[in-house]
Amino acid sequence: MLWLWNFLRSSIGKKLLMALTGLFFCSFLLVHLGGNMLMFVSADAFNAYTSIMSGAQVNKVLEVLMVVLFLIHIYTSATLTIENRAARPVKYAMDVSAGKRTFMSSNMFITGSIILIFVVFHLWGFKYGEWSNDPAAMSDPNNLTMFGLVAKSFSNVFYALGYTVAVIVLGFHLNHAFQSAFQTLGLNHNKYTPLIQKLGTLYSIVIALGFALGPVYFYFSQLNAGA
Amino acid sequence: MKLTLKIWRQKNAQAKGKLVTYQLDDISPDMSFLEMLDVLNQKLIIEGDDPVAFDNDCREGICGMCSLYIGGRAHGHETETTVCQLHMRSFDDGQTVTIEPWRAKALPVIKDLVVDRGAFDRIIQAGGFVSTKTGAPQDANALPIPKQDADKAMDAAACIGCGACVASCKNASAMLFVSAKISQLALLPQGQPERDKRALAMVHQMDMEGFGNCTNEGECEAECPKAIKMTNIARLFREYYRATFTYEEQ
Ligand code: SF4
Ligand code: FES
Repeated sequence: MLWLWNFLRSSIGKKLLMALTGLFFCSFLLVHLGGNMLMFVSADAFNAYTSIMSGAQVNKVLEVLMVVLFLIHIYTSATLTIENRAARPVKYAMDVSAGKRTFMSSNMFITGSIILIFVVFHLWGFKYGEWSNDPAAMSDPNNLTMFGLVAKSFSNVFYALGYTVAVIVLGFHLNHAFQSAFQTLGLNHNKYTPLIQKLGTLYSIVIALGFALGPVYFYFSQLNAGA
Repeated sequence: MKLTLKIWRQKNAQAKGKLVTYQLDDISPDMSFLEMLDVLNQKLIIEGDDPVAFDNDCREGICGMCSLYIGGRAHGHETETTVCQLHMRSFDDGQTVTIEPWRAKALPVIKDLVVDRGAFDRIIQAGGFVSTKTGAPQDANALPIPKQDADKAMDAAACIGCGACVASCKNASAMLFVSAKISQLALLPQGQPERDKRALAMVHQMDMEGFGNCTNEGECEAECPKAIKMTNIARLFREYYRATFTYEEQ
């Protein structure tokens, strides 16, 4: 199995790890977004969904898998970024971009780091936050259901604003990531690459706007309720 | 034409270099960029100074030796142009022009604007060739090759090994160069016997030389004087995956 280890330590092997783990999270985000949309159906629907998600055994396995994949994505990106910086020890006095480099595409490590901080904060605030959908707890007037916790958190302007900014950063990260993942898989062809690029942009817009909907909606609805 | 030049001067590989400013007054717009540097060097020699070292050979855009980072861009601001084919008429009278060597750990500066591109040679030595017995040429058309494949191979073979891709990449990645050298052989029947071995060996050598990793930003493609496309990099990945999972060392 030395060949496999050598492959995974090669430049291209590391890029493949980034692409595969990244694409996994791309599909996860779609599922997550679908779940979020239940917020706008009804509080009960959303609570029922979150109960299932936090209760099912199979999700425990998925959670472990996701943590492992997340760590691989982070570790590999750190290695690649360190190598890339080391590959140009002396900078140019004058450097002009002629390609499709953008501020966001050049700073994937920074947007990625912001997303990492956000994810920790997000899990701590919601997944491991103080809430219970247990019917027994419902009689307690101080108990928050998942829906209640979400509504309460986003009524805070800083909370809502922070989330909105974070998911927009996520959108920019995905915009470069999505099409790059296909290039890394070796899938680049005049026939379908233009389509992949358009899909990638559409996908990142849907994700950013979709996730921003929650904080924006709850913030403004409590403003209305208060007024 | 009048010009102000800011040129990177560095005595040798170990020395610390710096940008030095020079004035030129009598430049003809018909000169090539290298001829303009020749004029500067004549002036420096007459004044008893050390002339500026820069690489050049064919001066007709086919050897890839002339490697200068001009005004923040590899081979200057014109597309699909080597420095020897860049003419002073595309600059403004009185313009200030910064001239730097390629910047990459794997392509270290030897003197002034000259870098050591030995890393490219070692990548080619690792497998960028076909082993054949020489002898009488075989009949034409003995090996049928689809026109599309021949065209793609020829487009990849246009790479002159100049290093502009490495120079302009923010990660100093050599993947465009390596992908061109892999593609020109992988697409043709003559390249098949050593196809997998070649992909493994060339990528390994590329990694050993300390080039960075592609982040798919396309600076290389935009600056390549021979318009090598990034579709070749995707092919490089496919070749490397194929070799990794199918090739068995004896
Ligand atoms: S791929 Fe283009 S830029 Fe890179 S070495 Fe070949 S000709 Fe030069
Ligand atoms: S000197 Fe040969 S390509 Fe410019």
